Amino acid sequence: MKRTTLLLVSFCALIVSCKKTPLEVTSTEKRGLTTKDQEVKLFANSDEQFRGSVASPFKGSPPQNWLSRPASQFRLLNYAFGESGSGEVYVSRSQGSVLDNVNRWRKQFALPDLTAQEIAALPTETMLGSQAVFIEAQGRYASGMGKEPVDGFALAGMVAKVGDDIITIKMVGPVDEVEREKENLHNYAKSLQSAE
Amino acid sequence: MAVEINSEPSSKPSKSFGQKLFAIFSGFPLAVILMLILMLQTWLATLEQVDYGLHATLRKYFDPAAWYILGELRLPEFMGGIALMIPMPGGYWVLGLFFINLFLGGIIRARKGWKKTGVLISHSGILLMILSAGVTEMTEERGTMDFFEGESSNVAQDYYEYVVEISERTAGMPKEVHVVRGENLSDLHGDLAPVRTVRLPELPFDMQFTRYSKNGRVMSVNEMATPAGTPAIDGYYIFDKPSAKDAETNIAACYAKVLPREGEAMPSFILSGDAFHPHTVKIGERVFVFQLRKFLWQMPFTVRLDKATAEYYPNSTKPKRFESMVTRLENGSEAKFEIKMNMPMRYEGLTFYQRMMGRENAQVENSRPYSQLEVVRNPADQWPKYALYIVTFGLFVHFVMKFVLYLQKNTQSPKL
Repeated sequence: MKRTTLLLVSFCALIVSCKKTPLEVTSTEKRGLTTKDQEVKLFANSDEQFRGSVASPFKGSPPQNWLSRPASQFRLLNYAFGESGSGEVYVSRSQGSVLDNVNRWRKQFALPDLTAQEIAALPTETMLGSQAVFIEAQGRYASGMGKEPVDGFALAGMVAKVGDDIITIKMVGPVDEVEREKENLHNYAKSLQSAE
Repeated sequence: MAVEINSEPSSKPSKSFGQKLFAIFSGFPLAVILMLILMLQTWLATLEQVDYGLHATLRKYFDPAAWYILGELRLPEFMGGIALMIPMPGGYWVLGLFFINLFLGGIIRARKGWKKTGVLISHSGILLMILSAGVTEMTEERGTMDFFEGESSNVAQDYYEYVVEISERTAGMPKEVHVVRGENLSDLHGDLAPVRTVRLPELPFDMQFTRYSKNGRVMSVNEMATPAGTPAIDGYYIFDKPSAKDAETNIAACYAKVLPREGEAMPSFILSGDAFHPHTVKIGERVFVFQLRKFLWQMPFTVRLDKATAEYYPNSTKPKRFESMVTRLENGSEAKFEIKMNMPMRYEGLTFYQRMMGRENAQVENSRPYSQLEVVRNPADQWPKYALYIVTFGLFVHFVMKFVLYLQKNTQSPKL
């Protein structure tokens, strides 16, 4: 019976050994360097930490009804607009050609690709000292990135080759809200300039 | 001469408390009850993991901290589709009790003799199986090691545990990294979360943590209105999301504060598991960085991925063959290994299984291939296999003996 008692006591000891972590603890645990450790960016601000943003090389004068949002890894300047809360405008640095970027946007509205000749016939305007192509689209918008497509959306935007980069301003949102903001978009594109 | 005759010659002496207890704990009724509970728990957990994910369900049913659980049985739609909550003891403790019951009843109390040899061996195998589950629960470490072809790695990353890492940055890389383990963070959950102070005697400051979210997104106040009572710091706050079904995809976040032992108090800041850059604090002339990341455990050797080979069944993403040709680098020596889907590399108490494969850019066929290995440290890793051998051997012995006895009985010539 001693053996049984011993087992029971051990069982009870196991039960009472479960305890909560106190609100003041001391930590001395350390680890050596591993292959995952690398140089880090010091003194990153909150936008850089949580949105991966980099300092925008451009600045613009947005209208008062655009709400400035944090920049992100792919959005140098980022704004929200419209009463629906789903309208957005952002400035990006992209890759490829003007043709690639225009057709990438058109694909998001399930529109066929344009040829280089057709793109040459699109309206243009000056942005950052270069000629930017102005593009519009409407319909079912599938932005990708795991988001569900939405109906009744419109796109208005500019694509320009600035130096070696492709710079884009993209405005997407409900059709009526985009329609109302087009003039603001044109004015904003004109205001865009180097931040330096 | 008068002789006093005992009126109840066959009555047994009453059992002591210990004997009664022994009878209960070693008894067959308890064994039946425990096995029924375990069967019910296994069934309910199998159903529940479809809705809540495997990790969350296993934790709910078999975590040592779960004394009791509410098993959920969702009735079919034609019966109303409601969820019945069935209270029952935690699976870990049921299994523990079953171990005691089997040990006392199936080994100590069981009838001994050569005819029972097979049964005793089988019971020992089952005990080893349960023991291996307990040892695994208490000691197992599990993580992933991932690298591109040609890269080396000496570290595995835990699946679930987020820790705060603190390192001093001077020129180049830090010499060492201080680690505040997840157990000091994970219970600081919710709007009324307490604040935990973590003393760091080897650093010139201590730290405080609160409002840990095991799946929190850092949101800008410009993106979404701050929920009532949620602190916003520098235009950002932590939005607490429900735990993901695949718990390893959770991204933790918490509020933190540095408490310098000298000088002025410092403002709070947010730490997030998916931050692009760490938080930096300057104390005097010293610079420290703070990161919330999954716990890293260092390997005693380095593994280099020489070649990753992935084959899929035609017109599908179903893997046919994943193979990693690796080189183990240790103390100047090299050893080559081939890790396949069911052929792990075992070395120095660690087991490396092939887990995943892919390419840097899935759309580009010639982009760099990578391989992800699952690294497991578990002293009981092979015990279930041995337990199965023992149980099989025990049952084999038992059945052979029964068969031989049967044959002997039937071949004995009847007496005339």
